[in-house]
Amino acid sequence: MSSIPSRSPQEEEELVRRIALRDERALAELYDRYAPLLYSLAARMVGEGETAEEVLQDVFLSVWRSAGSWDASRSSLRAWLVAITRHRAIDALRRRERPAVPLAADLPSGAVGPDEAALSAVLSQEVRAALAELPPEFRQVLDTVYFAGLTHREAAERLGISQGTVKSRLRLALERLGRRLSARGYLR
Amino acid sequence: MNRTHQEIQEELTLWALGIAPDAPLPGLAEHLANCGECRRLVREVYETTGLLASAVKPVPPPEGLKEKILGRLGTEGQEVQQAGRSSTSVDRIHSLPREPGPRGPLPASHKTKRGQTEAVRRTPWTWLWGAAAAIFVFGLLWGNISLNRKVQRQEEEITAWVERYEADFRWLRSAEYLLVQESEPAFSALLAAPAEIPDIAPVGAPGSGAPTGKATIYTAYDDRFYLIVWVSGLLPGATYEVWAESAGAASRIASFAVDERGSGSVASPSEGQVAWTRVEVRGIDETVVLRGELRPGGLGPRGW
Repeated sequence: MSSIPSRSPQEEEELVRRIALRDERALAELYDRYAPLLYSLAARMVGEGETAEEVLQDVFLSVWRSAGSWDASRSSLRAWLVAITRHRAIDALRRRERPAVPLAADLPSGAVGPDEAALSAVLSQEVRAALAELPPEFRQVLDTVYFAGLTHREAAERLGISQGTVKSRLRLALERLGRRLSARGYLR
Repeated sequence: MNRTHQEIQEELTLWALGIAPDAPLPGLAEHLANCGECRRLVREVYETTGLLASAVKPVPPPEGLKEKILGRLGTEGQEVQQAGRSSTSVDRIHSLPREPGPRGPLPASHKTKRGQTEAVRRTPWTWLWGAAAAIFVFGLLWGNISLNRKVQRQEEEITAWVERYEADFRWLRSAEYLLVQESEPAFSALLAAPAEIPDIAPVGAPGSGAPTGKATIYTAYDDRFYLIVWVSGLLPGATYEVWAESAGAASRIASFAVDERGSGSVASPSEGQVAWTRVEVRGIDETVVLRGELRPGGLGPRGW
């Protein structure tokens, strides 16, 4: 189940500060809060199972070691954690060369499961709706780079388009997504 | 290198996504420093990628994973400590109990090297001490082998951790390098040709005028900081070095190549604060071509 921050940035900053001070309960809180989102992302990128578990373990142990390197004034905690998770998952993919699953599998109609928490469902729905509005070729590039963890060169080879096209579609796709999510108050 | 604004933004998008090369692309930092739109773009893309994770199908983490992670927090520290002081384990082997243990039946005789059988009268304590010594030597050897294996495993694990952590750190630093410029510089300096070197102007590219530059220090995360230096009017294609002076002693911080327009930039991340007072740009023959005194505060609204 995905989740979005329902706490204030100040509370999140305090939570990470406690982790930096080696408070295991704070890490447990962070896990409760972000593990569903990060595990879902890891599972999406490397597939469910042992590898996704390893990725998540690495992410939280990395946070345990380097909590002091997050600065709330420069990025949200969520963006930081997602960046670490993607990086770990890309590492795992590089070791294993797993073929990517198309994003379309995750985008049936923008609908979300009834068991999701309200806030999580709203954000998830917003992001899916924003993705669904993108032209298919934009979504395909995002899928290949963001979720399958390919570089722009690899994505160009896989999709049979130029690197320049990959780069421009990527930029436009993220710009449109950012604009829409920003207008709805999800980007600070 | 003339790139359009759109091309630069495409490069920056790759950076924010974490799929760009580690090294900063020429001119990118300089552009970013002067372009608020691009700084906003980097931040927005970075945050958007954080939100994009919500699009994936929710999958609950496996039962017990949290406990497994929390369980590793303590072990990790202990393993590092043990690997760091293996002598403790050796000491433990040396302190194995040396008592002979329970008494058993004693052999009445043993064969000499010549095959002669001779009766040997030994006290029970002699045999017990002999057996204990054999056990001790065996235990010592076995313990050493096990210890070596264990230490080797721990060292391998630590090396793997460090490598992975370094990889993360490097990547995060790439993104941070772009984001760090959102903050005001802690120290800055205008770099100019030293007065005592009057023939400095000819090193500049034709038409580019006398060399000038700027140096800024940004306080970054976790006691790290960045020294960023921009120069122009230097010899195109030449390599220069950045030197910084602290407590009267200068040390080399970084080197950089000048582009075809006579401009160059370098960003040097460092651990811990150093009380630098002066920045110099030197040629490879160590001739000082630019120099400036670092002072608190910025050079303008954003220090540029």
